[in-house]
Amino acid sequence: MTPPSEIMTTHGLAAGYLPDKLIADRLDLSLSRGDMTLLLGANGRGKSTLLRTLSGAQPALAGEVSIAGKSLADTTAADMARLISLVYTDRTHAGHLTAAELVALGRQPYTGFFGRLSADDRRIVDESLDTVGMLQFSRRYVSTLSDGERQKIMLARALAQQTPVILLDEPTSFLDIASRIETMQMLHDLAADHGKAILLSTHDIAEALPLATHAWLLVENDSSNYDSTQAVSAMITGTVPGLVATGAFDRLFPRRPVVFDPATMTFQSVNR
Amino acid sequence: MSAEGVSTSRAAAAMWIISAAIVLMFGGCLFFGSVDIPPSAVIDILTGGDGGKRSWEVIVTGARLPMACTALISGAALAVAGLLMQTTFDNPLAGPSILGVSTGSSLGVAVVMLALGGSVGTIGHYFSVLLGAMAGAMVVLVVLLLFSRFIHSSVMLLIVGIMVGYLASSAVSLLNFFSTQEGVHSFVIWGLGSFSGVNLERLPVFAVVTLAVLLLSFLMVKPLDALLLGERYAANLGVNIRATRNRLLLLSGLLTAAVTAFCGPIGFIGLIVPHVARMAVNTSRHIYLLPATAMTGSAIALFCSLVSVLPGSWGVIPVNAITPIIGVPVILYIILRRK
Amino acid sequence: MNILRFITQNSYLILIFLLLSSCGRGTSSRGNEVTGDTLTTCAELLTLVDCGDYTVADVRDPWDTTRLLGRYILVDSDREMPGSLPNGEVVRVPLENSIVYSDVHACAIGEVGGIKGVRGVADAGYFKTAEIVAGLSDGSVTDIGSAMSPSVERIVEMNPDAILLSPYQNAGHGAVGQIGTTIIECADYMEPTPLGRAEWIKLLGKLYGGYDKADTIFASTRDRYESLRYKAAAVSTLPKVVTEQVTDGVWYVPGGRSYMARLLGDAAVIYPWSDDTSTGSLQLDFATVFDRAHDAEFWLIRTWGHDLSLAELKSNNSLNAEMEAFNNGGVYAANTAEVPLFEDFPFHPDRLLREYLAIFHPYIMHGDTTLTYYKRVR
Repeated sequence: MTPPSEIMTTHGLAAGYLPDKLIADRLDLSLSRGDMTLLLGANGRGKSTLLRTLSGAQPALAGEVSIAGKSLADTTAADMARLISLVYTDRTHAGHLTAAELVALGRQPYTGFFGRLSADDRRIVDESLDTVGMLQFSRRYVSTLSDGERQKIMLARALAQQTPVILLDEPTSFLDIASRIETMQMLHDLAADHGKAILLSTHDIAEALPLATHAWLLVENDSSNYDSTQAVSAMITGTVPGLVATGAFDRLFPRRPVVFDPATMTFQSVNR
Repeated sequence: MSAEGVSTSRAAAAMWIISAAIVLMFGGCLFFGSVDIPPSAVIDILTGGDGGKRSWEVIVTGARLPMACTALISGAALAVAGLLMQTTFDNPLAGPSILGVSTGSSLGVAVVMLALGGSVGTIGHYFSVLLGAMAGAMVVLVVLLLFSRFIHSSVMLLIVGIMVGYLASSAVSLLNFFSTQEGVHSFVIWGLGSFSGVNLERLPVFAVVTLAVLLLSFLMVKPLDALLLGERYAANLGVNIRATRNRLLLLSGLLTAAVTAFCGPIGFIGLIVPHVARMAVNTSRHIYLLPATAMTGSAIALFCSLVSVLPGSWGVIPVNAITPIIGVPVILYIILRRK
Repeated sequence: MNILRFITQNSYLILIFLLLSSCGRGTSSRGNEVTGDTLTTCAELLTLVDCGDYTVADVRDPWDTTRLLGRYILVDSDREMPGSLPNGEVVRVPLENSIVYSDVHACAIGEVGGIKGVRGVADAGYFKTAEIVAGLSDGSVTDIGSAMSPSVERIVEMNPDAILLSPYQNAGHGAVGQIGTTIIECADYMEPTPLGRAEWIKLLGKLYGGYDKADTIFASTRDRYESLRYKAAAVSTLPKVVTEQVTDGVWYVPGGRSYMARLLGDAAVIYPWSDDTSTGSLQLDFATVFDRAHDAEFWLIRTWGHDLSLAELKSNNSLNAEMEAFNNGGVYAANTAEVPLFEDFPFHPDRLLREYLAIFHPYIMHGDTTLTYYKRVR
């Protein structure tokens, strides 16, 4: 029985690269509105690959991804633009745009031929900027903003796109601690108050874990997880409290001198 | 650069200034040339009179006017081609020539001038060269579009384009080596670029074709804006990256082919004008940037054309000798002020 | 101070450099006087002096007429080498195994009866002289390759007794100059006057054992030329004439003191650039030429390949149709692929002068108005 808030699901998904780099397979995942899901894993486990597969940028090797009831493969690019938005850390060449103009790009799936904005579009742009707390920067050139401010603008753009699903790939990597916390709080609020389905991959476990509802852990694949699969990684999913209770987080960094402390929900050095 | 955002009025003001520059340069091209014609005579001729000497009337209406129009159109076309290339390949130093389209044109012309002795069959020299230039450009364009089906990465496609350009270039060298002195000299002169190759009769065809492609380019405003964020974001916003890239290639290629066929290979304008235009209107939004680029291209081409005839009766400096003199300082400025 | 030190420390290098760079082409001599009968009267770049046992041929540098490009001491093969000879390159004549680069030379050599002495040619495709063409196909004449980069091996294998080629400004002869064969610098193409250039046939006569014939040919050429010129000088109305057409934006117009301008002048015309002083071609743009010559009555164009039509002339450049000659039937074109214009005029300028007079002043020609080279363009 499908919960009504489920917006994105996968069935038997295999993600990876042809011909022989299989990241993970037989994935049955789901994202629901109102959930903030963390995608965690050591470097090289395939977080970015999975995100790309979920966003449709990369074809699945097997299985399928469904969004809003329809298979991803059957969804047109235009429709996809209204369902999934992305935030990640690539540099862009939008320096000569104002913050408002960049956020306005998020309205492209809804605007007409030359991208003209209606009054409604403009309102949405302002609201998006306000939600991320950047409204007063709206007429500033993007190239004059700091990294943290720019990241918020990119998030505002994703908001302006008004998609139920937002996928983020390490959105806080270049930010200072205050910005990191701010961003995580914002994402939590977007899920909780605005009903978005948020999936973000991150290394900022300390800042993110307390605010997240669910987590997907990409861990090293060994025979204890599957019976005979060539995949490089295996997936453990669940709610955050549930995963903490089952000690799943210890599986993230095997053989490393770190240990997960459930009380503080952080990783600590073994040698303390 | 001020931290305050762009207002449409800033972009509009810049465009008015550029328009004024265009009018000024256009006028300059009519009043100055290798033959000394007094301004009063020029005005007289332009308003329907005969200016006193019949030869003057022919020169002003038959030579200077078409040349100015050609420069106007060619400048816009090359500049827009450059902008499209820079966006397609996400590379601020891309220009219409980087993909080898104009080298392909050169090869076509080299085949006609050096291997076929200057004319194809009974078609006159002029049309043979035109045909060769167009054919050469089209061949390269088709090759690139074919590769674009297999190559996903834009960087790789750019490299393929550069390699194709090198191949064409080496073929041109071979043809030059085995040809006569007159042929080589002729080819060199063609390669120097000139806006005087389009006469009053052919101007409408050239203008209509080029302007049509330019207008089609304007339809790409939305995907071009999306591409400012990079291919991944653009795809996420609903842009079909493959199709868009192919369209941009085709438009840019056609513009380059048309201008190269009629004017010879003109360098630098496609490379520098998008940057100058961006600095002038101070925005990357293509709804302003595209027209601004086209207009700035016209102004600069007209300026180069004017400078090329300034020596007066000493002779005419070829266009390609002037464009780098203007272009190089601009590129250096851009590099030093990289945002 | 530093420069001085540099020079003294590297003086031996500098010395070697200077020595090597002086081994350029041609002799840097001023040419000491020789005594004998001077055989040349019109040529400016060639002096032939008959000194009895030998003939001295001096070729001047067209770009610096104070120097000699070469001095050749021509000695008959069946004579013993004379005891004392002036400085210069000794050449045994008649030549029996020579290489020729120009069909114009080959043709003239044929006229003086020495064609058997030509055993090799460059740019063989351009040769039309019958004996050469026959020789190329039966192998008695060797093709040494292109003039720009000939096959040195084939030249060496031939072991020629001389190579006749044209000197270029600021250019050596490359590999060909290094193999030690006698190179005869034929600067005839740089002669500024028609008769001067035609007189070079005497050098060819001396080289190929046909001097008497050459002398006769030149004498009658000169007589005919002078009589034509004299007839033309009496004409009272001079038409304006312009030559060639604009190609790829450039119109090559003969300079005021060039060969072509002189020939036209001898044909009693107004040449729009007669006030110009250059001996070469002027590179002008269409407007400049049009401004001065749009009202020219006659327009002479040389083409290569096919006959020119008015339609093609217009399609090459629509403003060509604004020239008065275009609209008055005054355009004449010579298809040099079919007519021997380039082959004839160097040593027979009288033929071209006759042609010009037949076009410009037919009424003084007493019916001798058939055109050999030019056709009216329709």
